[in-house]
Amino acid sequence: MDANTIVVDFQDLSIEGIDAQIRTLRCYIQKLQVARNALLPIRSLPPEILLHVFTLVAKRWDKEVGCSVLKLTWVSHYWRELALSPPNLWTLITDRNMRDEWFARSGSAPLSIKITRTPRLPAEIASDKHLQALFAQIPRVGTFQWYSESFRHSRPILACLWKAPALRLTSLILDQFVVTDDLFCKVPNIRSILLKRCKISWQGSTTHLLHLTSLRIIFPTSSVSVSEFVDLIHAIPSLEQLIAIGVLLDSVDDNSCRMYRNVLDLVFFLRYAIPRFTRPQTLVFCVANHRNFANDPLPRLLSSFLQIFSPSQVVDSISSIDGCLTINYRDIDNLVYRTSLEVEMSKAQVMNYVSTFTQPQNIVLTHVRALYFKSANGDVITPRFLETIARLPSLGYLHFPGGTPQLMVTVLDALLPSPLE
Amino acid sequence: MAAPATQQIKIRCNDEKEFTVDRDVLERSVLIKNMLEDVTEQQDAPIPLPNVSGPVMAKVLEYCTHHRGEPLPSADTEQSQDETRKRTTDISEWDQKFITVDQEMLFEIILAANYLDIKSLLDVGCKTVANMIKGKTPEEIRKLFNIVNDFTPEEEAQIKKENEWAEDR
Repeated sequence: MDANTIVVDFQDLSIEGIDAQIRTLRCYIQKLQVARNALLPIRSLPPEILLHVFTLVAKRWDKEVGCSVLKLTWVSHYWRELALSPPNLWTLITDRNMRDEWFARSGSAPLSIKITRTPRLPAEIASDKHLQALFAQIPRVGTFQWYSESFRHSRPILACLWKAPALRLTSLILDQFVVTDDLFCKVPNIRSILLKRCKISWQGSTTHLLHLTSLRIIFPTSSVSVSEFVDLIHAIPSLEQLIAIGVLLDSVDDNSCRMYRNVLDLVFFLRYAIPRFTRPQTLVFCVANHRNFANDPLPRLLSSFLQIFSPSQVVDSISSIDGCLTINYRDIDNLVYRTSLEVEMSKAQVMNYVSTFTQPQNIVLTHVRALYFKSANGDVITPRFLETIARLPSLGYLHFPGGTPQLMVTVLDALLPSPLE
Repeated sequence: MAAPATQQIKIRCNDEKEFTVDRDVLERSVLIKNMLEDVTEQQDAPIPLPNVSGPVMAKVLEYCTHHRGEPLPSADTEQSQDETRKRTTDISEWDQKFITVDQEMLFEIILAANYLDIKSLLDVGCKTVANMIKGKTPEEIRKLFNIVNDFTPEEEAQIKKENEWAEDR
């Protein structure tokens, strides 16, 4: 008898005998089904190409992120074997798949965690076996996104990060978190952070982030002064990309003035931040929070930026989307500062600006070469203002269109060295 | 002044079907481009392509002709393209129309693109298959590709378990 022939024995009519035969037949059927599937057109695709398709599907099955790849394993024996083979198909961890089986399938590959549910009490975390399984994997987390429902939930989650002193996060996205000054001290290897709608303690928040190359702060619940922000940036030696939206303290109510104020802030910031950037990067800075640009002096604003950077053509492109001004730089090493500011402010605002610059912790704008004051009048020429102007060593041009000869004499008297000295 | 004549290259498919094609069109294929660079003298003999049939090659040439002149993905852009590939399954309108073929032809085009090393075409093919699968249940996927359920009883049991915890969450 042929080895491939199946013989059904109708003589053996015991239940056990028939069950055994059914099992054998099922086994044969399953083998035939496997053989049949192997002949299908889709099986002509090499495994590496089908796996690439799986990767595309896993990334796009949006509504069931994390479980899409699981469903691929339920299609056929071959698809299951194939999908289970590469660990990187199993690295996306969501609320739906925090399980030991899943972690085992991802091998030792870096995990991407995207969690939206948050236990309300530490005790709930301790009793949540899925969260505990997740915490056990923290040392190999590559990216971490945890969308918290409210600020009070953040502490237990941060405690989970603190449990992993060797944690080498490449990216951390915190949404609605309380970012205290001790948050990062035990996770100093983070490369990229996005803090969105977070409550940030600005004092020393970033002092431990030696390896941070990208920092994005989007609409924090509290603003920070320019000098504090500059201090914060100074504390991050490897920073290459900064996106700061809605970050700076803004006490001016008028939108137009606020924009100009931000231009000054930006120039001030660039003076200190850019020289340390060594690679082409994107810097996004919020100019105004409102979306209606129709009546805004944005073109003039852009022209101010171009005046600042045009000598070495470092501005690759400028675009404005949703109130954020994006400037793409290249060739940062050849950046030449030729700053000229066009300022249109009331006396109070000018004084505010001047006082910012005369704070002891602020550093002088050494590369400002020209200052234009369009609506200046004698009122702004105060000793403090003159002191500020005198501290601009590269200043070669000062423009007061409404100035009187007496005013210019006053300014020059203050700026030029006294013959007695 | 007339434009310089483009060099014409002959290729022969596995069904003996021959095509004479402009060199720049054929050079969308990295495989053929490398072959042509290796040949120093003018050769009249057609380049044999034993892994591609005539009808499939005709489709591939249609794609290459449409995209002639576009920059080939360089080593620098490959990585970023890989990233893009992972992020999106969007296909341009012309490519979508071009790739609207029966399954057998679709897979043949993917195989040919893989063999001929035409990354952009391979990409379009893979994205198309991914889009066909996207959002479907396992049963619907089986029906789509004419696959039968061939799991062993042990696998069935495991899948049932997985199904339970996936539904549970």
